[in-house]
Amino acid sequence: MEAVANLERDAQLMLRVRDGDETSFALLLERHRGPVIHFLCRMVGNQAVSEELAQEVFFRVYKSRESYEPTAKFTTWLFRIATHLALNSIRDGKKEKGQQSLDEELPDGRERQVADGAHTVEESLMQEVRVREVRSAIEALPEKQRAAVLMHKYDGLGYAQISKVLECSDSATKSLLFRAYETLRVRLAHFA
Amino acid sequence: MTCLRENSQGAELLIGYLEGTLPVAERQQVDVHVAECAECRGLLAVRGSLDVPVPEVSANFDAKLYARIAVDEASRPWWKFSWKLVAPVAGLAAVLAVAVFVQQPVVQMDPAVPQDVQQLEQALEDLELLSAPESL
Ligand SMILES: [Zn+2]
Repeated sequence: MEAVANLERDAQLMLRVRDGDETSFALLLERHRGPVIHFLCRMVGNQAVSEELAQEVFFRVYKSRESYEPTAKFTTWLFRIATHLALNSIRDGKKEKGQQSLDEELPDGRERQVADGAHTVEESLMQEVRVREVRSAIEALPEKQRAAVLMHKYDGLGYAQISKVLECSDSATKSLLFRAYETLRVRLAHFA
Repeated sequence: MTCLRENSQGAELLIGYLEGTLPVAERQQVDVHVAECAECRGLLAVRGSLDVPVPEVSANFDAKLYARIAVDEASRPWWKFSWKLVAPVAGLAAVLAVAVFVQQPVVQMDPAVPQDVQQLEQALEDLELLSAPESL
């Protein structure tokens, strides 16, 4: 199973980081940099802030290397740090006015297009509208629901692992996920 | 027919179905319901409709992180360094402490020489002493 292989590999890498191997840290960074930044970006809705937070996440990982014990999955630990920082950032109102939101960053050409099925101008515009709608629907979710659905949808975490990240029961996590998907279903129904 | 969305048990079934973790009997229960319920079909489909592009990570992300780590490492307190490094430094510090202690009673102020010149001479002597502790 891929998840088990990931667990072993990440934990092994982190144990090597603990023993002073900087190359293993570089490998962990390479593997998780993208997912962590994208998770944070979708959480706080701002790329600059998400990269600042991700700097803090990986800095904390490095700083904690000497006390690291592979008691939990590496990604559980990683996403727990990221989620705490994102929730604090949102609560601190760090997303100040004047900072660009993700939607405003769209035209600067730094976007990596995942779906490029759109060919005509009309299709492109429709696609852009849909992307904006999806983003704002996700951003409008309550923070914990948003964190749960982001990890569930984009990072391949199951509810059991999300429960550990959010430090709540499996039932509570399933309920968070259900409410999030139900809200998204209603909000995005016109695209179905 | 009660919709699965109307109670927590049904909600848990739907999430289990999404993850593909349900036992066969429960999965079939959901299949039967979903065949007749547009809302539940919509709920199961919404996850697949959330694919949107993500911004690329800044090119200098790693460099910034490593710079921060380097600054932090440089400011580590001495007791966090390995003894390989600490031992010779501690040894040298002990030698210097003895040297300063031995030197002190010998120093006397000459009232004829201005105080700032005396201080300068003292500093120069100390410097000489520090640079060659093994000559003691
Ligand atoms: Zn239903």
